Amino acid sequence: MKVSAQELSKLISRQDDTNPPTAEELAALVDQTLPPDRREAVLNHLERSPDSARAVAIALEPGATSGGAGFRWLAVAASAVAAVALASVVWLGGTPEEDTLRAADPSISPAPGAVISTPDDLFSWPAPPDLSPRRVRIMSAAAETIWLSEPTSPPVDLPAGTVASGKTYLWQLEDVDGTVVAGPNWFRMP
Amino acid sequence: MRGKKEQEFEALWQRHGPGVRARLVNQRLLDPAIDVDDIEQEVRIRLWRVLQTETQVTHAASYLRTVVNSALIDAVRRAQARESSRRGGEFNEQMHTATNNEGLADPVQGQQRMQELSAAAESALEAMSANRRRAVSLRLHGLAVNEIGALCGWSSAKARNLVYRGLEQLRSELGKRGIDLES
Repeated sequence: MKVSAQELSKLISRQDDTNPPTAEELAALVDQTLPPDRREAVLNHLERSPDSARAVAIALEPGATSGGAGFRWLAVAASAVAAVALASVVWLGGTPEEDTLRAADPSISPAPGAVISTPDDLFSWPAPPDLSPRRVRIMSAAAETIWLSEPTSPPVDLPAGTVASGKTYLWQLEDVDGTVVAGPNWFRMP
Repeated sequence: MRGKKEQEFEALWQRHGPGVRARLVNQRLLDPAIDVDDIEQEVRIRLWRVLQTETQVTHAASYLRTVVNSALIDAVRRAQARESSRRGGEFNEQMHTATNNEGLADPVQGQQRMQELSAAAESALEAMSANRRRAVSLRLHGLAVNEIGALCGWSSAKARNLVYRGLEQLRSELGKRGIDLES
């Protein structure tokens, strides 16, 4: 009989853990602050709990920049119905850095939390190997789009009048199909 | 006049709130079950509560990162709980269809076959070393190789090795038990 990875995930799941981890313990596991004895018990739990494992994976996610996220989203959304190819996807993500809310690529600017000193400060990013163009999307703090650039190479000028002083904005890089390749990061106007 | 705690809270939130929001917006791209406004509010409440009980929050960004993670996990678990009965039904229906395709139209037989499949999967995993079993189980649940490494304290190379060697062994062990793991 043929069995998909997702079906197998469900077949090996168990719901008889008498001391399942709390959300705080799972968050501590992500932050690597869980005591060793409890850590081992929580990892044992994750082996047998697809739901807890996927919840932890959401908290681990450093950015929406890779194929691994797509794989996970399929796993979450399609549940046991879809057969998902397992072996072909390797995601090379990072881990959260100390005392930052999430890891950021230092070669992308402005950095998270940057204060843009003048309206014509530039958005820049490393050119991808295939030199494919990117779009810059600027959003309000409520994540509503207020400006979307044409597909372009770096750097990109912040158009005058797009943002207002004293406000905080989010920005992200997208490919021409609208897939997010970096961010969202945030910046402030003085 | 606003109290010292309110001022401290506002200062912390002014500094870190946009980062929290960006993180939540980012995570929502991965899981639409995440309600950014709800979780942001939850994080604000948790931060406010801790400020009431502690004289000073040191390493606020680290603390907030843990709070955000905890709130995210709570939110995902709540969404999973809402979906679990429907998903369970779909899974049973799917497996029942699969067992029907094996000629097991009788629901009791189908249920027995599912239990056999589950036992076979268990025994295939039991045949593996503890580390390989952990790596493969987490991979089957949808975690990426580097995430598995980060959670288990392994290097990327070690995690990748355990996952792929483990998947090879699992495929072989399942084969011995009459199960073909789709690739």
